[in-house]
Amino acid sequence: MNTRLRILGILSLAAFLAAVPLRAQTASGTLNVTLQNGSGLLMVLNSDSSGVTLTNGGTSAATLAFGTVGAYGTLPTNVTRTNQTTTFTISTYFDVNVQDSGITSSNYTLSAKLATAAPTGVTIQLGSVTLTTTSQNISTTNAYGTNVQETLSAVISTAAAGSGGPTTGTQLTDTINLVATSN
Amino acid sequence: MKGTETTMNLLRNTHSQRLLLAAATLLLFVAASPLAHATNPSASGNLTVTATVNSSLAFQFVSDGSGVALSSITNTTNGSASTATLNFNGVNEYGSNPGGVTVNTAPASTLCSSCWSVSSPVDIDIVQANGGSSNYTLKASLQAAASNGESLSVNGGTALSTTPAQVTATGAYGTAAAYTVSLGIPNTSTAGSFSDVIVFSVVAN
Repeated sequence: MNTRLRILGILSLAAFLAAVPLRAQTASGTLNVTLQNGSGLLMVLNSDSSGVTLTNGGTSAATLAFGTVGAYGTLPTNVTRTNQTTTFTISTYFDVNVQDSGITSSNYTLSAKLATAAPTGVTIQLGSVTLTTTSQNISTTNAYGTNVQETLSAVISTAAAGSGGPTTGTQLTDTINLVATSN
Repeated sequence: MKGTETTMNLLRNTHSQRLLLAAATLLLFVAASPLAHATNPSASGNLTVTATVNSSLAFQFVSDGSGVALSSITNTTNGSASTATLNFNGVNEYGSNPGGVTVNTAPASTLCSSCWSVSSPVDIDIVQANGGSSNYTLKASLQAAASNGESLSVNGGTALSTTPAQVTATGAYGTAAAYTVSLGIPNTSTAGSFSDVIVFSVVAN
């Protein structure tokens, strides 16, 4: 009889733990361990040998400074330019390196969006994708554990400031939010 | 005998408890695992992008339809000088001359004296990007002083020296404007050739 009572008690406890896992500290702790050590990704942004040197490269929060650019004239090292009728495009490269741990997927999808709308007269592109504040896929089969070269471009209007062109002589800035999701 | 039954019961109970614990653990796992696998693992990074845009000008040589066709035109956008060659070819003060060449047997004294001249229009197109200026100033000079008695001018101005001289202060952007390049040849010159380089510079007003 005593044994049956103990068994019923254990069953009740198990049922309780199964029913309310989010409110139980034990369940929350188990979940955290699974996410961090069982299947995780780590993204690092690196300078590309053919691109502008990143500030804080090797971390997940880096800065890519094109420097001072114009439709005509000299350009900073590792910045290229093409001229169109009413715009010019400057481009450079950076690398995305995503490490996986404890997952079975063989590649990942890289998506990106702008943290804020691009400055007036400027369009920012990653690869062939024009970035907006809505996330878009950049590539869908990137390999883990290696530097994947990405092309960053800024399409800049040649119009004067106030006429659709960008503000000149001051530093323009925006932030690209990159997300790698295992496939 | 009773002791043996008690031992058996304890063993059965222990076995049952293990099964129950395993079931409880399984329940915990089942309860937790849907949360862990509801979405694929992901990672994020932020790349801040900065650039400073400056206004800029492009200098472009264009052959003028009424003048000598320019050769070796290299119009650049990378900050290096655009280049072109104006070859008058064989010219005569009297007699026939190549197409596009205008001969003046009595050029302005500001170009030369006791001389004759040949001239041709050359088009220059200045393109402005990201600038707010309405026109430009064009200057010209000789890269090196003329050494054979010849003299050169642009748009009828005084003979060029190695010091830049203003050609226009109101050049219009985005259009191929014609500028007349003249070469004054002393009457005393013997047959031969001249070669000089005119350096143009343009500044937004």
